[in-house]
Amino acid sequence: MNGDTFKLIIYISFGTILMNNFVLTNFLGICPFLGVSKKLNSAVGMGLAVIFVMTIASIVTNLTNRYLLVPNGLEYLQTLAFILVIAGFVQLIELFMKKVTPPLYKTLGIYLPLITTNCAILGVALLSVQNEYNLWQSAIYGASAGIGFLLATVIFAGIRERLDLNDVPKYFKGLPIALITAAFLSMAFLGFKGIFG
Amino acid sequence: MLKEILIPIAILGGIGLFFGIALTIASKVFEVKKNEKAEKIRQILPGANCGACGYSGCDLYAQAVAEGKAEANLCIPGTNTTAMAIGEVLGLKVEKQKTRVMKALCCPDVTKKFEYKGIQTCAAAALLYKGENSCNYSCLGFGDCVAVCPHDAIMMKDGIPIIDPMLCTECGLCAKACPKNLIQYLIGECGYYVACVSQDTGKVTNKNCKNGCIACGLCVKACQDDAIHVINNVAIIDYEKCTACGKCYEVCPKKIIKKFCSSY
Repeated sequence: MNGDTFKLIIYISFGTILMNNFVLTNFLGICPFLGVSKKLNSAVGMGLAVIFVMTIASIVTNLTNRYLLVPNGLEYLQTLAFILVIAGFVQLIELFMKKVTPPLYKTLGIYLPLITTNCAILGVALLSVQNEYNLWQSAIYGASAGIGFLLATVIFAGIRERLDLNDVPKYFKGLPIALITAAFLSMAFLGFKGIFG
Repeated sequence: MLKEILIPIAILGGIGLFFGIALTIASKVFEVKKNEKAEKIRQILPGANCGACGYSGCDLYAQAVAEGKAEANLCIPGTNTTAMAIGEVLGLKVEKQKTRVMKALCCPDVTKKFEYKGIQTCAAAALLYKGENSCNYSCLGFGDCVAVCPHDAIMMKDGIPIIDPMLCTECGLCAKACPKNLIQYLIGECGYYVACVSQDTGKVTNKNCKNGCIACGLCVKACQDDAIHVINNVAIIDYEKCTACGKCYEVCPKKIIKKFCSSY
């Protein structure tokens, strides 16, 4: 591995985790971000599931795009084909999880179908095609997008657990204060934009 | 023209077909076999998911009983009826549960060390110099136990939680929530309990609270069955030996040995 590849890896991963964080900068995958961030444990579980699904999804969609769609001039079918492929794969993972780790399946059960048709997952696939990444680059892109999601959800879950103990005005209780907090978190992540200047 | 239509259909259809077949195979390979006994036991259990059995939910407890890893009479909210029903499923004879009552062992008549204005929960208040009350072992009265009770069996009265034995299922969540460990199990249909857990010496307890156990030992002398002892400056009743004669209740100078009954 030469210096340039290493630089590219760092660039893609840090860029996706911190600067172009999927949740806090691109505003993709807000639904699981708000849904699963009530408790730290489930936030971690969900984050790990997202990392897994995103990595696999970006590899699979990259292959689908390169060997099925581009040779036949079917780029206009990307969205449709990607959803199909991702949904199929997540279903397979769900079956696998049910057998191997029932406790994890129980905590994530209702969220796995949510990941399937999640905009963040489709976003990873479409953006990595748009950025013209090759196979390993898009795998790194997918994994770092997932890590970015995990980071954002875990930070947010930590904040929300403390928020529960605070004296929040009546009309801000629950989701309103959570959304305001998410906005602050998003602004804080804006600070990372300066890293690579 | 025909090609432009047929190729996309073939490719998307192919992908769909591939995943269809793959999923069918996977659902056979990764099929989870369900334990029939566990299912049956799960239906008998009350489904409170209280955790009193020591497992983190009714599902896991049912699983453990079905596999023979747990005793069948551990479900406290379900009482003996549940235990017997589980015994029938398993074809075993199940021992009866002992009658238990939950009580908060405190009747505070205390002064305040300072005025607490922080987060209004016992857990938070207990972190600041062990609470605002002069007695460090006393009930803080913010009602963490009331909040945690899934059966609405607890209400605060005169600064201490009163547990309604009719509604209480003895799941023990309140005992876990109490930062002072005041809520404890008392064993027996009817009997006596010491409504104080202060481990301070008699002199200190006397100064802090008018209703505290001063470890005078009169109850120990009065007891005929060797069932009450002063341990760490507080009288503790051994329910294995106690015959509920009430001698200790009569002699206690502070009147903090009280009666309890599981029926009211």
